[in-house]
Parts: sequence; C-alpha cells; structure tokens
Amino acid sequence: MPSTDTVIHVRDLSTRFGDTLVHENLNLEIRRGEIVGIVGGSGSGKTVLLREILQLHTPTTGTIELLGHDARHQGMAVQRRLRTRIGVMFQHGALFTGMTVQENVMLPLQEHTRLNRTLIAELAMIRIRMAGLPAEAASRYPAELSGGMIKRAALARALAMDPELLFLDEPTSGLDPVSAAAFDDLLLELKSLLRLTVVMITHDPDSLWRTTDRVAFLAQRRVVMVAPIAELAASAQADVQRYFQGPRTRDRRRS
Amino acid sequence: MSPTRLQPAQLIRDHTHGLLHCSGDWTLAGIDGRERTLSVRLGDDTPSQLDASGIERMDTAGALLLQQIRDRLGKDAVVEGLSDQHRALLEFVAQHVHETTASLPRKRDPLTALGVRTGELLREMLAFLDFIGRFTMDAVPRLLRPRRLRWKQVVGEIQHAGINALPILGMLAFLTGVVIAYQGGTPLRQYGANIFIVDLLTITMLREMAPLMTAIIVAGRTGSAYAAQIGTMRITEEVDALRTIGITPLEILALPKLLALVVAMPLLTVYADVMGMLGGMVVAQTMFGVGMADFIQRVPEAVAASSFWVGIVKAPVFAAIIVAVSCHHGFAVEGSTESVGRATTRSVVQSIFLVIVADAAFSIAFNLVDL
Repeated sequence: MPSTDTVIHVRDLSTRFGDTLVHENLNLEIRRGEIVGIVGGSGSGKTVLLREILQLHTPTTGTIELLGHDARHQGMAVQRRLRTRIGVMFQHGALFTGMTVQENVMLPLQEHTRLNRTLIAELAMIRIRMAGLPAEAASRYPAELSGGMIKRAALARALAMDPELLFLDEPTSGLDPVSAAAFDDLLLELKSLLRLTVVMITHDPDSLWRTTDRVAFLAQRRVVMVAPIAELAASAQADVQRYFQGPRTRDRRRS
Repeated sequence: MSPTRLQPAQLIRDHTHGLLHCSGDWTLAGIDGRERTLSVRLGDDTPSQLDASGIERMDTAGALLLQQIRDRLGKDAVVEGLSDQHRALLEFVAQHVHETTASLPRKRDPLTALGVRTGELLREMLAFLDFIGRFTMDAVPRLLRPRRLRWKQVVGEIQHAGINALPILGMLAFLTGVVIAYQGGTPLRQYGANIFIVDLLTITMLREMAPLMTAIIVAGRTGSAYAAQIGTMRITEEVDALRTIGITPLEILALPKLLALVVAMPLLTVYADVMGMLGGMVVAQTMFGVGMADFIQRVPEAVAASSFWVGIVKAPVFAAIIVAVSCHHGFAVEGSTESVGRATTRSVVQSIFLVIVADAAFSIAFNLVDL
C-alpha cells in the first residue's frame, strides 16, 4: 500500500484571525496506526489546527490531506465518505442534548449504514460499554450524566462508525485519575485491536507518557518538534524545555 | 476509497465438510446492507464450525456479527482460522456484549397520553402562578428602593425592545391604517359619508389596533429573545452561577426587562397610533377626498380623549404579561437545547394568547364603566 502510511499531511498551513496569526507555515505528518499527542501552551492554536484538519474551519493558506484526499477540493460524496472514517470527540462532549446516550451513538450508524435497528442498537451498546459506561447510562439524557460520563459517552459516539482515525480534544481533562488511566488503557487496546490512528490534544502528562507514540509540540505558530515524548523531554529547544521542565510535566517514568 | 477495494463480507455453507466459511471484509462497510445473507438459520444440518480464515479485515461491527453467529450456533461452535489480532478483537467485543439491549422508548396509548398531557398542562399553569408569585415577592421590595435598581440595564433593554422596534412597528401600523381606511372607506362612500372614515380609523386604531399590534410585535420580537436568552443561560449554568454569586436571577434577568417594557410599550403604542393614523390619512386624501386638514380637525370631534387613554392604559399590562410569560418559560428550561426552542415558541404563543384574552377583558371592563 504505497503512500497510505500517511493519514494526515498538513503542508504550509497558515491561519489568520483578523490581525492575529495563529499558524505560520505549519507542517505535520501523521502516520497510520500511531497515537500522536498535540501539545503546546494555551492559545498556541491546537484546537484550531484540529478544527482545520476536520474541515470545520478553512485555513488561510496551505493544504491538508486527510486519508489521502485534500477534502476541500472533493465533492460532497467523497467528503461524506471521509467523515464516516473519522471519529471525533469534542472537549465538552457535544452530545446531542435532546437524545439519550444510546440514540447519540446510534445516530451516525443510522445515517451512514443500512443495518437494521436492532443491530445498530446493539452496536451502540457495545460502544457504550467499551467506553466504560454502565448499561443503565444508555437510556439517560446528557443532562443527567456526570462530567466524566459525558466524556465516555462522547467517546462512544466517536467510535460509533469504527473509524480509522480518531480525534480527541482533551479526552482526560476532568476525569478522575482512575478513569483517566482506564481511558489510556482503552486507547491502547483499541489501537492494538483496530490499528486505530489517534490524534489527541492533551495536557495530561500521564496520558502523554503512557499512550503516545509521538508528540507534536506547537509553539511560535508552527510545529516546532514531532518526536517520541522522551526525546521531547530531553530536547534543548527553549519552548519545549520550558514545557517539559515544569513540575507537572517532568519525566513520569522515573517517579 | 479505502486503500484496497472493499470486499463485501460473505458467509458460505459447506455441507460436505460441515463448515461455514466466512470471508471478505467483516467491517461496518463490508456488512452494510448484507445482514440478511450473513445470518444463519438453525437446522439439523447447520454446521457448528466456522472457518474464518477468509476474513480480510475486521472491526468491532464485524466482530459483533461473528459473535452473534457463534452464539446462535450454540456453545460448541468453534471459530477457526482467525488471525491473532482478529481473535483478540472478537474476544474484546464478546466481553462487552450486554445481554439485554437497553429498550427503546415505548409509545403511550392515546388515553394515557391525554392524561399525561392534561396533568402537564395543569402543572404548568400552577408553575406559572408560582413564578408570578415569586417574581412579585422579589420585585416589590426592590421597587420600593428604586435607587438600587439596575437602571443602566433598563435603559439598554428599552433600546433593544423599544427603539430598535420602531422601523418594523411603524411600517406595520402604517399599513394597518392604510388597510382599515381603504376597506372601511368604500362602503362609507356609497352613503356619501366619507368624513366618517376619520371616526372609523381613529376608534379602531387608538382603542384596539395600535396596542394589540404593538403587543404582538413585542411578544414576537422581544419576548422570544427573553425566553431564548434565559433558557440558554439555564443550560450553560449561568443562572446557577448568578445564584452562587449571590445575585437573584429574577432581579438581574427579569426585573429590568419588566421595567423596560412597561416604559417602552406605552410609548410604542403612541407611535403606532401616529403611524396608523398617518397611513389612514394618506388613503383618506388620495382615495376619498378627505383632506389632511379636515381629517385632523375631525379627530377631536370624532372621538373622546378617553379612546386614546384606553389604548395606552392597556400597554403596561400587556408588557407585564409578555415579560412574565417569556421569563417564566426561559427559567423553566431544563437540560436540552431542544427545550430552549420549545420555551421560545411557547413564550410567543402564550404571550399573544394572553394578551388577546386580557384585551377582551379590558373591552368588557371599559364597557361596564362606559368608556
């Protein structure tokens, strides 16, 4: 399979909001089957980058290739098919408040497949249980869930279509340490079982050390470094050093 | 568009070897629309061995289907030829299968539905009364100390609800005047009673049309905005945040709106009066030969000043109805964004309904005191 090893290819990306330049000639390449963390200080444009990769926001200049397509120049049908191969978990869940958890997870399956309702319902239940929610939570509405449960429900919906590519925006923020560790386990398990490619924005150092294969560091409007976290932590680059020398982000393996 | 072409999942019976061959892509895309061909019917000759060596790719959807087939075949069913990764996936899914799928919501029978709806309606009426009670209890002591009211906010609300509504209200009132004069003038001309167009227009406009039109515009424009704003603040927990900071939500969200509308609506009504009369005047002059000067001279003869005041007096009452209804629905929002939409709709519909009910009550009351 030539060239399919790169699932995301961001080239010379620049983003401008009014007078502020968020990205300038940013480049990033993500390969199949790896878990990539995106880190950087607040306001370094992590979420904007994610939104651009997802085509929720159009960059000022530059190209983004997603699963081999520059989706901006594709027809609706290709875009739609691309979307079915991608799962997204938003920072605050973005669950549809008018539907139960199960209906939330069923929605993408109902939209994109012709499977019968019982199988879809069952698939949704598996996602819900995989994400670590009790079966009773399936019939509840998002307003009746705790913050941690909303995260899991959002993950369940992101996994609904068995995506090849999973985007997570701060998946472990707001989770208790035990749940966060369970989340990491789940991610590693899914990666090994489904050869999932995962791109996640995170500030959780434990998660970074445990799950990621590589970490992309955003600073000065571009990706200054993409490397395994151990290399990043040992880096001499000023911004990276500052980030990883903080009392909260030091090497977790020794402690 | 996958890197390799999609090969639909297949399940083939091999009676001679007592085998079920699985092949192709057991993925969501691979099984999509093929459920029927991928299910097994139990019979005496159903093989109990699954040969899965032909499976190219598998994801959790395919694994679930395979797991279901294995379950259907019975405990002795064996799956052979799976790659290690696929086997791990199958076990992973099997481990998460839940015996009972959460039941989908059931439909109510019509009688129960009627009962539930009636109960809801009664409860809602009580809740509205409760809201009015709480609002009054909260507002009255504050109104007695006017210095501490949030006048800045009141002024802002007057700007939004009053001044910004002038173009649309003026346009509508003008057109209403045109229509009334035109429709009423034609029969009057047959009797040569053209001048009475002034009586017709003044009485309808001042007493009824202007206050009602104002109330309807304000309910649609401003009341809906109030309900949506407060409802959204409920969802984002801003209302709770206010409470924890020690600010009564009613005081900061509802009271300034009430004061603003009580001031703005009578003024809007006067404006609608003027615009409506203007519209009528234009028609009277161009179509029915009643000059502007005659028209204006006739107005005080045609109607008593009380007609004007009757219209104005209603406006603050309508204002109170609109604010109470829309704030009540805003604060009643719970949980979903859908309920914000519902609250907005209800606030407009019920405001207009109650305004018209109040208007009818006013008519009867004024009639009794001969105004």
